Amino acid sequence: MIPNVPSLVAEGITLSRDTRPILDHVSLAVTPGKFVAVIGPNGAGKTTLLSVLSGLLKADDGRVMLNGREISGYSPAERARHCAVMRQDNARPSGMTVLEAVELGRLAHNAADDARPLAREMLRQMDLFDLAGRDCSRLSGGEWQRVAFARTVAQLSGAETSGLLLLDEPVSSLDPLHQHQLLGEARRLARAGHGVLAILHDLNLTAHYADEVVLLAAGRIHSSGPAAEIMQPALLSEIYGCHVREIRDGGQRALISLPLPSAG
Amino acid sequence: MNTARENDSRRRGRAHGRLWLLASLFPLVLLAASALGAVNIGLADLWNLVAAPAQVPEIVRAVFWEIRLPRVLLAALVGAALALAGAGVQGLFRNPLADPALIGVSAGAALGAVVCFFFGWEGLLGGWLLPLAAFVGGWLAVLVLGIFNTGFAAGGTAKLILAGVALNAMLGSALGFFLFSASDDALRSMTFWTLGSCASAQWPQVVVLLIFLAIGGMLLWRNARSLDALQFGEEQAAHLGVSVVRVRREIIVAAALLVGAATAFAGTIGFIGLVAPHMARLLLGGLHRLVLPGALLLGAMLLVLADLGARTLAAPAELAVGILTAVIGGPFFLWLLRRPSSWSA
Repeated sequence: MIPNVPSLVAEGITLSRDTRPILDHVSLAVTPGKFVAVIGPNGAGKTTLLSVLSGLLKADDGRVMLNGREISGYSPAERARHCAVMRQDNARPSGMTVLEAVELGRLAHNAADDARPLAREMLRQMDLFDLAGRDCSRLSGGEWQRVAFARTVAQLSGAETSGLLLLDEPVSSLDPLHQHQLLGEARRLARAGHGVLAILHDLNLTAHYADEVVLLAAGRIHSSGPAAEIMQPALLSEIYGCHVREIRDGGQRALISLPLPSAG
Repeated sequence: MNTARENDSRRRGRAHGRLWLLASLFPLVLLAASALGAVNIGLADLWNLVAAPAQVPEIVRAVFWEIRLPRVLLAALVGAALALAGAGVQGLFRNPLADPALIGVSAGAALGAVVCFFFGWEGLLGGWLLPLAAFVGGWLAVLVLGIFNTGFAAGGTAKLILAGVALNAMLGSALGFFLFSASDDALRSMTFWTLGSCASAQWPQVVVLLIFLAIGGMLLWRNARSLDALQFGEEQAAHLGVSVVRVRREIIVAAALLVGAATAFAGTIGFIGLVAPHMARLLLGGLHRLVLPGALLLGAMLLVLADLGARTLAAPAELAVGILTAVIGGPFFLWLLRRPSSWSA
């Protein structure tokens, strides 16, 4: 049973820094069961939006509701039990094993004894079990990104209500196989009743995994809706300023972005 | 599959084993330091001091209970307090060069003490005005720093470090002024004080410092997991459920209590707060539930040994313990750094 009430609602988020507008009346909702992708050019305000949605940054105007309550009303620990965030700028600690790092995903949960078995389970699921005893400082960038994802998923495990997963470019350092593995896992979590919102840059992956797409440009929502509607070559070419083509291979739809300046 | 699990458990097991090793070395170091000194006390006498006091010469009893033991314990407590504060501050700032002195408490305490010497007040209140002034001076510095513990997302910690640097510079200027204007006698006292010494140890001071160590240690211990999470960065830690501003405040208060009290009784002693936590991390890994007790034990042993050197090397004269902390701890630290890291799996 997946409840139909959105787990995250943002209404009219407006934020400016030194009079420069960053976000301009951004509204969106993440419903349990759905994978929402936020896409848009660099500097569109995606990461800032994520900071506001996750309650770290207060908007000048507008409000964010997490499971029916204003997000500023949550304590950090309570918020962490409802909403797990994977940031882009995860520092890699030394002197901490992969397993210990994933265990820290359970920091906000009171039952500490289930942390280790759960962390082991997450590593097994993410195909990371062989790295369990490795020091985090000895991981490659891609390995660390997968470990951070495992920690983020561990954080949501066993959430009473449907949890919310916010991911900022979760596959930016991953090879194609692991990109699919990670996003497949994120979509599986959505299907299991969580709400997932991910900032993505790869248009193919977005088209393949997202149920809904929010296209952000210059701090505003340019358009949003079902992925099939938004992921159109003409629209994307216009927004990104480079040529995007669509090719079909036996029913499989793929978008190709060519690194050429767009004609218009 | 199994190798990974074994690797992780082995590493944990080894870290716990090493912590127990440190814990069992600690009483041996205390015992050795209690036995050695201007009057050497044999092992039999040490045993008899507890078991059969009547068999021990009165002079030995007096030396042991009134001078030796409080001094050894004070050194242990001061070393433990400085090392704990260092572990907390380094974890908070995620900076290996962070030192408890960074938050201004040492410089503030030094200023408090130097003002006392300047006006010749060090003997007032039965000698308690001096530690009190040092403690208050340290606290005032930290309170000023606390004003800067507001911002969070936008590099709050970096701002705090920079504020600490500015604060230290200003306190250093004030300190310089008093040193410059002081009479020769006062200047001598000030210089000795800033080199550190455990020579003034008495039981009441041991008890007071023990209380501060317990409070500061508990504040740090209850934030140990948050300190672990902070290693991912402050924002990510907040997403994991850490109340970053509160944790920051508690760590700084704990460090100020620990360093303020230690400095009040023993003067400014460098090196231990910086290096003991690193030693703990090299030996035990980075989790703060291991680093904090490890740093406590290493800091305590380091200062007990340094103080042993201070009162025996040039006997009957005394060396300033601050001269010896680095001489004792430096080579050990360098050896740890040179060793191929035991934390690569």
